[in-house]
Amino acid sequence: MAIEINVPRLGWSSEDGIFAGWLKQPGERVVSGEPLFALESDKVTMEVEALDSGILRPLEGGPAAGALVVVGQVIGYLAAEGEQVAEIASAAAAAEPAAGETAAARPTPASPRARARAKSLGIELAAVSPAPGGRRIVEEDVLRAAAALPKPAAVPVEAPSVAARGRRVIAARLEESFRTPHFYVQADVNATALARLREELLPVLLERDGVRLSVNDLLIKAAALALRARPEVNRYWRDGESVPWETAHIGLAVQTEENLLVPVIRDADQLGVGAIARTRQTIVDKSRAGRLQAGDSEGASLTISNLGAFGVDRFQAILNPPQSLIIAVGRMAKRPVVEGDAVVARLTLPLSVSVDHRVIDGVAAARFLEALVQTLEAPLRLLL
Amino acid sequence: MSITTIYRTMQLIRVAEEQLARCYARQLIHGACHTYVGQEAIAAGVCLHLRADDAVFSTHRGHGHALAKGLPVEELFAELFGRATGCSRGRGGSMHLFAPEIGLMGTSGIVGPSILQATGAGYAFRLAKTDRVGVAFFGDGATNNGAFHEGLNLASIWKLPVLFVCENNQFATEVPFQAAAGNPDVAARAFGYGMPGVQVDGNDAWAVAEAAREAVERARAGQGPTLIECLTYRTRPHSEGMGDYTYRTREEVEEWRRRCPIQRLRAAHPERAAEFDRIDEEVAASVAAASKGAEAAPWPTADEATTHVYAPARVVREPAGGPGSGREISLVAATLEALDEQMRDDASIFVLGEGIGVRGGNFGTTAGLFAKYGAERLRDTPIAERGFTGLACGAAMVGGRPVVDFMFIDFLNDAFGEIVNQIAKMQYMSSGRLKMPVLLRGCIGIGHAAATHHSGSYYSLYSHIPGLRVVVPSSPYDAKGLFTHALRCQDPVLFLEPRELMAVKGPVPAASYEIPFGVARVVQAGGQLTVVAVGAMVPKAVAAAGELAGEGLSVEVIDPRTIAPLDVETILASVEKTGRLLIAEETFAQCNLGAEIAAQVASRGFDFLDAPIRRVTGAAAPTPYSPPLEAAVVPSQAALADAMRQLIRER
Ligand SMILES: Cc1ncc(C[n+]2csc(CCOP(=O)(O)OP(=O)(O)O)c2C)c(N)n1
Ligand SMILES: [Mg+2]
Repeated sequence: MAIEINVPRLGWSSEDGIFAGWLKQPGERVVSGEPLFALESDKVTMEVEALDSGILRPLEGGPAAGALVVVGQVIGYLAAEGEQVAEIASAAAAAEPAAGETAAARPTPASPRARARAKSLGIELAAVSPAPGGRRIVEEDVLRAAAALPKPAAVPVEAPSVAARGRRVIAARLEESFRTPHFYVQADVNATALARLREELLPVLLERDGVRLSVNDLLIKAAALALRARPEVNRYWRDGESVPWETAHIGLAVQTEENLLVPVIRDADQLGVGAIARTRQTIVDKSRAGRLQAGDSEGASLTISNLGAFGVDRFQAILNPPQSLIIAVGRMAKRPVVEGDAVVARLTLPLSVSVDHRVIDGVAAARFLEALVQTLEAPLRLLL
Repeated sequence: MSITTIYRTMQLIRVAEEQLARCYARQLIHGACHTYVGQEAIAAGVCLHLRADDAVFSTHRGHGHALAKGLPVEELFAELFGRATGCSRGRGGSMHLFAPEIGLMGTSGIVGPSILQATGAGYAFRLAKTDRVGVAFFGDGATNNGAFHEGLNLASIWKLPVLFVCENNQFATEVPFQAAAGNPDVAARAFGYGMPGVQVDGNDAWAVAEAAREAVERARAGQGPTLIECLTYRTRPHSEGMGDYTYRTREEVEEWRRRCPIQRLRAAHPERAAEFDRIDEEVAASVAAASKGAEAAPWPTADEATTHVYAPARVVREPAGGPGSGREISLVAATLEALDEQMRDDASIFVLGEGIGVRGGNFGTTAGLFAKYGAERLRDTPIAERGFTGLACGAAMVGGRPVVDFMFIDFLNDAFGEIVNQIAKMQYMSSGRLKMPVLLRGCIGIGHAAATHHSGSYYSLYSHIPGLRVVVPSSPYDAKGLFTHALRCQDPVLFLEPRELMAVKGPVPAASYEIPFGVARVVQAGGQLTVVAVGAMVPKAVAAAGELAGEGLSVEVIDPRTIAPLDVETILASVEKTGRLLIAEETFAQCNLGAEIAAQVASRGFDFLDAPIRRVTGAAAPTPYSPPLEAAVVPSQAALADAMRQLIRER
């Protein structure tokens, strides 16, 4: 008997993902434990290992790379040597009516409850599909689709090129995020001391730990300390109420070739800048290699998105739910500043903090920004 | 004095009827109008001996009875004109006149029930130890109806204070009585029931009055009922606007006009001519004024169209403690306890049924009560379901609180008309002036190889009827609380006990308590599927849900407890939570309760539904006897569990 290959669950919130292609050829012999196919969920691409051994027989008409797949869905079989593909295919066809003609003729039926739920969540039913074997979209399918929606991009950059369907899901998620009532507080940090500190520490850490300290590392530490200094902003909106974060994890927006990822530096308030730099290096490498684990992107209080390296002077970012803060960092450069009655050239770092107004009011946001600016302008505190 | 009264009454009826005929032609009357012209002597003669607290039950030809019993003329006119000031507030018209405050208990559009209702009034009067009497007026046509047979027999065996007044006008619509009766001597039929029967000239007011006097005296003295046959003739068409000379000749009608009872009384008393003339003038003036007044009377407003279908509900709460975990008794014992408590406290309660006396009921529903409360309150009946149900109706109309024990509810269908047309409609038609605390009980459901005539449920059928309360308990605790409530509420209640659960024991508090109608019980909470189950399906659903719990599936089971009123809110709230609804009933699907629940949930909870509403029902067939056949028509626990699983998984 052929063994079903199912889509596994990735992370606690994912109910579906984007099929990223087979890692074995159809007909190739697979040994249990070998990477079998790639699956992307919550911005994480995972290599899924075979649980059994057999000859790979992808499901006829099964998902192509880039297609949305749901947890539990059968995408292929590991067949015994000599087992006929036709048998499997016909068995599968019998079990699951071909979506072809009917689906083309009219949209998949959805229960009244599913429709109502989709409407309240602002989700297009077209982006939802029934569970395997299901003829109609039910509420569970909508909730699964909602939960699996990718986190919105923290910056308005070109989105990763996934299949059109995946893109629609991302778009819906972004739309939802953008409906969060945002406001913005902004300041230009006097970065003179910060730049000097970084220059001084760079060779030290390079020698000791083999990592290059970046301004981002200092920002991560500063943001975590500012969260601790201003716990009233270290909160988020959940099920209609504002709840506190216990931790001060910081997310860092990382652009990979295809994708925008937000890996997390845990407990950044308790790590030294060296440890932060090392951790940052590791997760950025993992992100670029597509080896981020499901949990690696969870639990941050805020996200730092730095587009300075791309020549952006200043910008504003969309929140990354459920976070209620995101810091958009612009290019560090010398800019004219009025000092006394004179205009002087000074190294500045433009910061723009986007805030979820449901959780945080203007003055609280201002105090948070103030704490952040003070730390960055007198950055020796980062070493305490 | 009596002559004057009789004359005035007859003249009033005559002038009023003739004016109504004119009003009919002027289209002031919107429906039927059956006049009493030619028959006035009967109402006048009989009512001469009645008190306001005696109860008259009449027919479609009831204007004369109403006026003779004292109904103000303008209230009669206003009623036929459909006005708010009519005696039935515009709800009845010619055939449904209600003025219970003067003992006009009601006239009826159905031929026959007045006989049974007067019998019931007699029963309640006797039970209350009064000397009031019940009077049934009915036509010759009714004497061929089963109500006549059952009513006269019941009144005779229990020697009830009742007058049966047959107005033999020789036609039922256009069918001559001669052609409709094997023995056209109505009075002689009394012999067959063991009561006196007298035949009088119905156009001789004094002869009628004399016969009525004797009969009323006998009744008040506890000597039982009398049948009085009054030979008469109606000289106007059956109903205004109908043709008259297809079934009888003009000559015959003319001949009877000459035998006018009013002229006859005048002729017998030439010395009173001047007095009679004065009365004629007074009557003419009062009828003219009444007609005019009624024409100017206000119309009822549309918002009154659905009031008084039920009595105002008493607000009661189910005790917070629930069944507790004390002593356990069976469902039958629980209702027996409730019945005993209420009979102790309320002397108007009496029980009718076959074998419910000394024997204590086929199922022990009245065990031990005969010894406590005696034969009059635990009345063994002949096998006359229609008769004693109609009797119960009349008894309730005059303040009694009958409990009719049908044993098997299949037998109730023999009384269908009395329940649906009379008991259920009485509060509404009387604008709430009559209360109808009638409790009809019997067991329902398939099992014990009882076969088709001892296994029906019928609650869907009866819950369709406005005015009825329908209760189906599934636990001893619910049964006692609901039964107590039924015995304290003012509405007619069908109390249907699932036979397969009657012996099942459960915890029941010893103290008296009430469970209000229209409040469902969430028997078991769950999250993935709502199952509404009725009667014997409740424990089956709970057992099936238990099976599913073992598979990690969570089912909420709701027992509506009362089918009418139905607690849709609790069901909706559950479906809002679960998104899926299964209705489990033993009855067949066609137009059953499940269909109603499905319609309500689809209408009010459309957006809650995550899957189609499904029903598990019995097969649409009469119940067969042989065990394998019987099992095949009832949903099994396994079938229920399967349906639950499928619906939870339905995508
Ligand atoms: C149970 C029932 N069947 C049929 C009718 C239709 N119907 C109305 S009056 C009537 C004739 C009744 O005759 P009778 O009882 O002699 O009264 P009458 O009209 O002669 O006063 C009939 C058949 C009815 N009202 N009720
Ligand atoms: Mg007749």
